[in-house]
Amino acid sequence: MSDSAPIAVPAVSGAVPGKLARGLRVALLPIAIAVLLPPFLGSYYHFVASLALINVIIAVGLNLLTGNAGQISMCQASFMAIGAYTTSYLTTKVGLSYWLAMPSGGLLAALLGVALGFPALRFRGFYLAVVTLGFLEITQILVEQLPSITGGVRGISASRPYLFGSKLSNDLAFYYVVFAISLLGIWCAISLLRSPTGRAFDAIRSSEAAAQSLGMPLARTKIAAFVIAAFYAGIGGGLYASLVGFIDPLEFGVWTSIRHVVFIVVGGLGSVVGSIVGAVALTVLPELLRGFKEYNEFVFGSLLLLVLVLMPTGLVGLGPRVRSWLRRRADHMRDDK
Amino acid sequence: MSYFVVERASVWFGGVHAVSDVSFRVPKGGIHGLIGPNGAGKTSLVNAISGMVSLSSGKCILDGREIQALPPHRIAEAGVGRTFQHAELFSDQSALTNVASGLFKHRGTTFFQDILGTPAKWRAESRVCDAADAMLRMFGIYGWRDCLVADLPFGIQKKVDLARALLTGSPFLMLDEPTSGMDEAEAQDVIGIARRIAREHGLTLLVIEHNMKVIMRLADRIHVLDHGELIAEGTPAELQTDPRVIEAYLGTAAHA
Repeated sequence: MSDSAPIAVPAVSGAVPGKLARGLRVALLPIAIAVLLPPFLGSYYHFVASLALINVIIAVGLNLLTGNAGQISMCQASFMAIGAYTTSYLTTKVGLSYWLAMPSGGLLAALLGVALGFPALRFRGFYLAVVTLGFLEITQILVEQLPSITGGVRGISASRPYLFGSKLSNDLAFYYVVFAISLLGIWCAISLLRSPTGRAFDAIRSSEAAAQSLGMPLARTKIAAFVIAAFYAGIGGGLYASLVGFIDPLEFGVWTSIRHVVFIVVGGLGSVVGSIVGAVALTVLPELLRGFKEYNEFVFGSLLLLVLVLMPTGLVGLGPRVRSWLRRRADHMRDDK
Repeated sequence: MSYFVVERASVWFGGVHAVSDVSFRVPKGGIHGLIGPNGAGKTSLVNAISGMVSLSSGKCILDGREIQALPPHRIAEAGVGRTFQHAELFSDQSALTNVASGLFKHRGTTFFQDILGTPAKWRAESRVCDAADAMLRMFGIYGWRDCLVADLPFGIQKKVDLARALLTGSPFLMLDEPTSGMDEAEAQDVIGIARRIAREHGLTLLVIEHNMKVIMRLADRIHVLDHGELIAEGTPAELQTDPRVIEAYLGTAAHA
């Protein structure tokens, strides 16, 4: 901290709370739908919605790391695995409450995020991607070599938690738990991006030299980004294990990691809304495409390509384009009259 | 006592001596010039002082404290600020965010407040926005507030860079060609603002220029570099008649 005073800081104007309030009003409708609609739907929908929200949590964390801090990670599935196995181990073998075990899984993932953050100080771009792939390999081997904790290649079962004395075996009840946690995760990401820490994330992506000249610590900022993304993925892993009821080590491979990256690229890099839209769309879409049977993946891939070609800034870039198109149409209509 | 001292500083890139054995002293307060023709080593010296490249030998001392061994962000924390010759902005962000980033050193929140979004954090955020807005108004670029800086004309980008650097409140601020890309009137305007803020807050400015006209009007004292070496220093009036400066600096400028 420098001892000199900042220049010209006038009194609070309330500009930020005003903007925040507008944002919350916009969010009100999707939140209301997410709360009020599920009771009228079947258990299958609750399962898919929970899955989508777990992916939202992981995507929001990864987007802070990749979209904002500019660091590539191809191993978020590893952090998911760490969260999942830690949660299951602590609940079944240690007898810890799920509500302590699941955050512990997140914390352990965050701790290993620090370990991954250090190579990120030396490598960038493709090289960093390869380093994170190495990390993914290592965790997969560890999962196989520690069958007493992980169940090895056969996997291990995970159970639903108790809340207020009753088991959340009901998919709807568990959905609300996942929903509440994902809201918290989204709030934290939004808050972070409008803070000195978040500005440091964006700054080091854009220009490391300028960021440092403003007193932003390069190493600490990069590591913080890895830690946050790992924590989000660890929490996602803990929730995922309980949702599915079984941990299959094959779930945490390179394909899952790629999917996480695809979520944020399709949704919109560096945007919290983009993470949400991308994760929800790409979780729900394969379910909607079940009708195409064997062409399912072909159609999925084609739609993905279309989005990337037509919307280079992701789905979230569609918003401003639609708004300006509507405005132009409205102007035309007025001119015609 | 001198406020900022460069002592026998050298910067080598492989076999190339960008800066050789340069020493000078800057007293506290006022505006000091660092001039020299293109390739004289001005920007290399600024990069070395701010820690972007390491000194091959020599020392930098700010207010009695050696800073040359510190990492760049620590040098910034110690009180050295800078702008960049090519306005090194966060190009995919708004002018407001760029300028607001200047307040990082004065962050009033912890990491956990930032991520949890406590009321204190949002209040601090409002103050940051207001301070950045005030700075944008002062430079007359408030209208560009929400534009991506990559889309702005170069002269405006330079103003954003300067506004951001001034907002760091660094007591020792190095401005690398602050008026390039601006017309005469804009340059006057920007110099006026920098001079006023420097006086009001007791800042010490080191202005790097190759435009002699600008620096002669602006600086109290000028250091002249050529081929990586300090060849002269003095007041603008003294240097105007210094044969070494006329030969090395104006000579090459006249041929260019």
